[in-house]
Amino acid sequence: MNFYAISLPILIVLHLIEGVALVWLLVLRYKLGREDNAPLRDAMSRLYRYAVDGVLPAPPRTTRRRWLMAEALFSLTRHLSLLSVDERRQLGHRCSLIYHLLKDAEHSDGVAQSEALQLLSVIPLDDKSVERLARTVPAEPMGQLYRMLILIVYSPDRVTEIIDSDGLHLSGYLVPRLVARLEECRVVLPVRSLLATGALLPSLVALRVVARYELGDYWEEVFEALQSPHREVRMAAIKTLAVLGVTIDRRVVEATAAMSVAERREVLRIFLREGYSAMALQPLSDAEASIGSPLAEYAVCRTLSRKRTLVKTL
Amino acid sequence: MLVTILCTFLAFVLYEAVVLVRCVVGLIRVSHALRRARIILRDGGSSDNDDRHTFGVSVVVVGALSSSALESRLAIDYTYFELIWVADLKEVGGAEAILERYDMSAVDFSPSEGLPLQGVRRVFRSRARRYRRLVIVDCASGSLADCANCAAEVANYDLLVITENRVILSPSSLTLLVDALLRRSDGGWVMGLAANRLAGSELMLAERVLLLAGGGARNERIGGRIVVPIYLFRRDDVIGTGGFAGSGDAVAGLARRCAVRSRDGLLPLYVGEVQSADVTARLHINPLSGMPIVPVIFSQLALLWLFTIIVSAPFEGYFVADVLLVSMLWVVCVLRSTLSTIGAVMLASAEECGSRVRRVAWRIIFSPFFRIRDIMLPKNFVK
Repeated sequence: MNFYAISLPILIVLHLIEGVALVWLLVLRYKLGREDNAPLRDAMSRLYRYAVDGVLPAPPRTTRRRWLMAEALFSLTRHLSLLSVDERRQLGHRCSLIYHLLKDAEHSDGVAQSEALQLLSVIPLDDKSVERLARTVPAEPMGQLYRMLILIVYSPDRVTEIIDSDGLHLSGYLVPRLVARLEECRVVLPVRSLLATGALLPSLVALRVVARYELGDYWEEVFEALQSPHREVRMAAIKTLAVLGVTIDRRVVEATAAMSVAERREVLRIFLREGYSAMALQPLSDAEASIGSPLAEYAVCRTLSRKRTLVKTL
Repeated sequence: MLVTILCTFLAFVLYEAVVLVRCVVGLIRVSHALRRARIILRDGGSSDNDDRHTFGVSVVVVGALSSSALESRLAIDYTYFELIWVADLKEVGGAEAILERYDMSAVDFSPSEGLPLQGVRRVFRSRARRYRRLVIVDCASGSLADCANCAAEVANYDLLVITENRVILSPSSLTLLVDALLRRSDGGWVMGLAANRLAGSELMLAERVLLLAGGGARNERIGGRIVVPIYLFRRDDVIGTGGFAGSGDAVAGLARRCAVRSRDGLLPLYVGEVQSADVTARLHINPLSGMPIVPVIFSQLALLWLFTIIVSAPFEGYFVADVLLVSMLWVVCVLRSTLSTIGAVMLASAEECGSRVRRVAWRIIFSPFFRIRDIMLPKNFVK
């Protein structure tokens, strides 16, 4: 058999597949990099006219324009708060945004699902849509965050139950974002009931709220969180106590006694960053000295390396 | 002879197939990473304004800087960061003026982390509140490892970004890097790359972007361009592994040691470009890991050799087939190169792709023609 007849078609097919893949990249890059896109600006201006003059925009005819409208709605809601809840609901139904975004969230996965949920998070949903969303469990942490946000905003009285749901493993680093989004949606978080669950995510959310608003009324609950079986909760409680400016007493020393050297160093750095002086950290330093730890002089060394006027930042 | 040609051709096809699969897989990962970046940036990043309990980053810059370069680095658009500039101030022109301008004063420096410190003379912090983010370390040692250890010693925050003086982080780059690192609950590190586009061939850069060598990145000079790695570490990892060591490749060496703690070796790479030494770098995401340079050279040489064999082999009665096949091979290779270049330049350059792509595409299309013309001498086509 001819040598070329066997090998050349294979080579050509491989190159053509690569070419198709790269052309797809061009299209994708164009779609995703369209910050200065005229259709996006057009969608923004239509929504702005709707907010100011009450002129409801016509339903988008293509998938791409519908997606752009959802993006524009997200941006205007997050950054300008131009549209009221009823206006967004009306827009979501008229332009079929809810239907299509929910469909994308149900039938896609990964980052695409997360993006659909993100855009859906600013549109008020009805009961049926929420039921469908409740059956969708994203694998991506960002998707879980937005799903949780939507469910909480829909039924704020069930916030503890939703945050404590089984099967949700929201990463600790997304907790600040969740709290910030809930704050934007004006959801009041029951700190005591969240801390009372003892679970990881509710405790982190509650401690985040206490630290963010420096709620001194909850310092006893925060001290109790020091005994949590979860390391992340214990460290979050330490950070919260540092923010509240509590005096370091035997409870803090006992909580840090079971930690590793790296964790105890982190505890000292947390307090130092919040402006504690070496004298205020003396109980911890004494505990370190009693076990012959190399961290006995850590607070003194770090304090000497800084100017006094730079100790505390607001 | 035919067996040799067949083996060479099969090796070439196999290599191309592997490259193609890696490119396709890489493109899928790129699209996911770009989409994730859009989600993060649309949402405002992982830090909120006026909230000091987010993830602070200590940005370390090693090497000489001018006053304007330092000023531009203080304008990073991340909420909580500090800038640690490590340099030998005796070698820096205008160091006294810089210290005076930012109202810097020397503070007592007491090592407390157990890191190996070499050549630290003084540490400066600013008396002015508006420059509280700036820390200057006067380090006599020219080694990158020593400078990075000094910075890790004085760093206030828990995340460290190690950069060189040629690179400025672009808007949102810290946000993306921090998000990528924090998504890894098992430790590890992430690496970004900034590539200088001032001189050299865009083709080489484009091909390198697509076929980037994974792991242990180092300074590479490719076609006149320099690919500079940027690393984001957890400070605890740096201290836990005993700090940076060695010379030259110190940061990459520590990155390799830290990588032992991560479950998988696949790290998101952020590729950026530095248009000049003092211009903001843009970060994109390119998770491709590439091929060593030897197979690339081998495949190109093999292709060249195949051309030579094809046009010089005395295949009776196959003259027309020879010409057609060679032409098809040439068209396919040019098409592949053109599309690779276009795609890679698009990936590497967001705003300037229009005119550059046209110039590069013409260069790609016509330069092989002239090279192959030299090989395909007219007399070979005379029967």
